[in-house]
Amino acid sequence: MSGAERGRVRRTALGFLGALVFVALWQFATHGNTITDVPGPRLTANGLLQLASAGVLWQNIVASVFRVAWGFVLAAGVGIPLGVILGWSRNAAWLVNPVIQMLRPISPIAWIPFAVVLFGGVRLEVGGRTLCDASDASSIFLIFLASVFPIVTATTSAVRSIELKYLRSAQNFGIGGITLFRRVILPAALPQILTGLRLALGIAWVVIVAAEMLGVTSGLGFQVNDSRNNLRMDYVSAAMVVIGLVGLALDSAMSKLEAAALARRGLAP
Amino acid sequence: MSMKQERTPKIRIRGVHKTFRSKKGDVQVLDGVDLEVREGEFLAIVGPSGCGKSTLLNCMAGFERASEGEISIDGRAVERPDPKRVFVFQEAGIFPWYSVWDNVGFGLPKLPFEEKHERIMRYIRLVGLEGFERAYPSELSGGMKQRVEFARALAVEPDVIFLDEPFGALDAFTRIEMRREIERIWRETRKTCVLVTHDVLEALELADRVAVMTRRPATVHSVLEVDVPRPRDVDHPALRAARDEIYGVLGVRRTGAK
Repeated sequence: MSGAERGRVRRTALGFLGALVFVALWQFATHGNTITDVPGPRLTANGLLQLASAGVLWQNIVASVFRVAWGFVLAAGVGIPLGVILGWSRNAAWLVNPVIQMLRPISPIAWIPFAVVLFGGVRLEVGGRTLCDASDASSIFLIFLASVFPIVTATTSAVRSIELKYLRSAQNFGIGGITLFRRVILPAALPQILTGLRLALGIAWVVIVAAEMLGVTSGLGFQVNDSRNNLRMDYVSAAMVVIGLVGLALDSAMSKLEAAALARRGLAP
Repeated sequence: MSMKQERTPKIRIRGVHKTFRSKKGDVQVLDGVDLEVREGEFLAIVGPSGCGKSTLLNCMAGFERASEGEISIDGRAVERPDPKRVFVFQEAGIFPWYSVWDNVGFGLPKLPFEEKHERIMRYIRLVGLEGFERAYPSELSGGMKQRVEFARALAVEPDVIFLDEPFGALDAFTRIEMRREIERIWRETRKTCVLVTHDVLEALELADRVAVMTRRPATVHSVLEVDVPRPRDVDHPALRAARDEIYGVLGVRRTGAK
């Protein structure tokens, strides 16, 4: 076994050990509880099996991932270009930054009433199939709000911290305008932008519970709220476990993507 | 040598002043620099650290503007950077997201692929990096990165090359090797080269003439002709004498000299 392999095995083993200790502590702290108290690992596992066999679990995962994906993609589509502009032009940054820094600390939860008012009647249909209804639109809006600011901030600082020698090299060879953007600015800023995207995806997933609090009838956030209303605390904890696992999967997928994108450009991850 | 002196200078610097404004007050870096660079010559500029020699080079390349005075190349005032005058950076300014091939081809105008490839490969061969054209900078050593930077500069076939302490980030052995390389490339291409360095021996080994700058606010104290055949050995008595003379101007006392 090589050194790198041994490191990987040890890493996996320690990860499992940590999870095991966590479950043991959880079991110890909730010993003897029923489904209306804080449930232990056994009750949670039972709840998870019931949700999975009823078929709603999978539907809820898909619904939540769908909303997060849309909100996140829209946030990237707005946040990256805006961040490039703010990083490049000092005047643009002075104009827009105060507003952004003021909007940023407002929790997306505070926006819920307006999200419902704004997107109450929105319904997108394609060929008779509902692609996105009112509840989806307001959740997507909240996820967009949660993830757009980290993307803008990361992109702005990425563009601002591009080393002078790269810009001067480009200038020296007479490269400017859109070519400068495509061949120098974007690749130079890419590692930091990817880190920002990963952070933003994490935040977007955190907000899903809040975003699915009102007016929706699907999703993991809905599952949490609905189960609480029915006093099924085991379903609440089961949904929490699923949210955690999906979050873990999203983050590792994103970090794989990050590593692959950097490796293709000859940049060490 | 005498032939060259009769020609009009390639680069003419007249009464250049440069002042940087900062919150703590103005810092005067250059205080009336006069200098001429001849067509096809290798000129080195030496001076104490922080004396403004890099600032002077940046002004010559058009990255910065002189506060006062005039810099002209081929009789025309320098206003902005130009692909005809390429700047080689202290630490490799090549792009880590491009392969060696793409880096060397970065400054080339739109050309048919065959022609472009042929040109890129010629310069990759010139700097001795054949076989590495698909490698990325992260896979190369410091000396090899510097070679890529030279190839990228040469590929656009400029008239003038500005070298800003190009060996500064390299280890001692690689420095010696790269000096030889630069000298060989210069002899093969005969471009006008302006080298800024704080290493007096490096300047003497490479340059036809060495301009010595004073402390800040700097002027050019004197210009030394180095009339020693190449390739040069830094132990050559004429070079040792020249070194002592420059050390004298810079105020460096050699141990045991006094």
